[in-house]
Amino acid sequence: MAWTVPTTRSTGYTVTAANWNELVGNFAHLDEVAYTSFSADVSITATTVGTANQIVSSGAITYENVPHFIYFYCPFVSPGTQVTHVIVRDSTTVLGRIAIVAASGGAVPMYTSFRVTPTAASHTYNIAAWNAAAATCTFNAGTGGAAGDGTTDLNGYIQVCRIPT
Amino acid sequence: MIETAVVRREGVMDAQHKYEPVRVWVRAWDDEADVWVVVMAADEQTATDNAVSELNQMIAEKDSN
Repeated sequence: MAWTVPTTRSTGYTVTAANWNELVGNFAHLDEVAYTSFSADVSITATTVGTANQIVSSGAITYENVPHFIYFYCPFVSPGTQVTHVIVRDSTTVLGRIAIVAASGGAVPMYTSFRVTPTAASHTYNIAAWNAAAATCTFNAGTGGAAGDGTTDLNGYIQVCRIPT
Repeated sequence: MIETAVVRREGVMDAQHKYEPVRVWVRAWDDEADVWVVVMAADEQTATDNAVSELNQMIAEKDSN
């Protein structure tokens, strides 16, 4: 349910079920909608957008028609010898490019976000990527290391949250 | 009529990069009875079954009052 701007009440006001349910609705609104982690490297070898390699998916969820943020994180992107396009899709429908990885550059982390107001229906948001020409770009991820281990990657993830607005 | 929908998920991509659910939240509701419930389980089918079961109990309680 949509976010309701909270209303202050005066001393002596009798709280009703509608008031209570307004708060319930707002707390529910703040629930995380989706979180999917990945802890294995994903190699991007596709050279067309139509065959883009999926990195991580939120899974199918029935969304509310309210603003959401989609966040994508990867601790360590190892560029290929060609430009890599990172895209957001709803199932297989491309919504657009969310980031680009320069060819033959240094390794970088990636943290991007995208605001979307879905239709009230099921959507499967996912992050995928493809290269401008034959190359391999790797989205590295791991399970984290033991104490003192500073070189084992943490997991990457996609997260979807409603916005209280 | 009772309707259901997956409204929240936590999952992982396995080593083969396939989606695997970890926890799934299903909302079940009945507009006629004006009741709804959200139930979490490890998979969609269990969450759906439990949500429908809980909603039926709520409707029965509401009808008896």
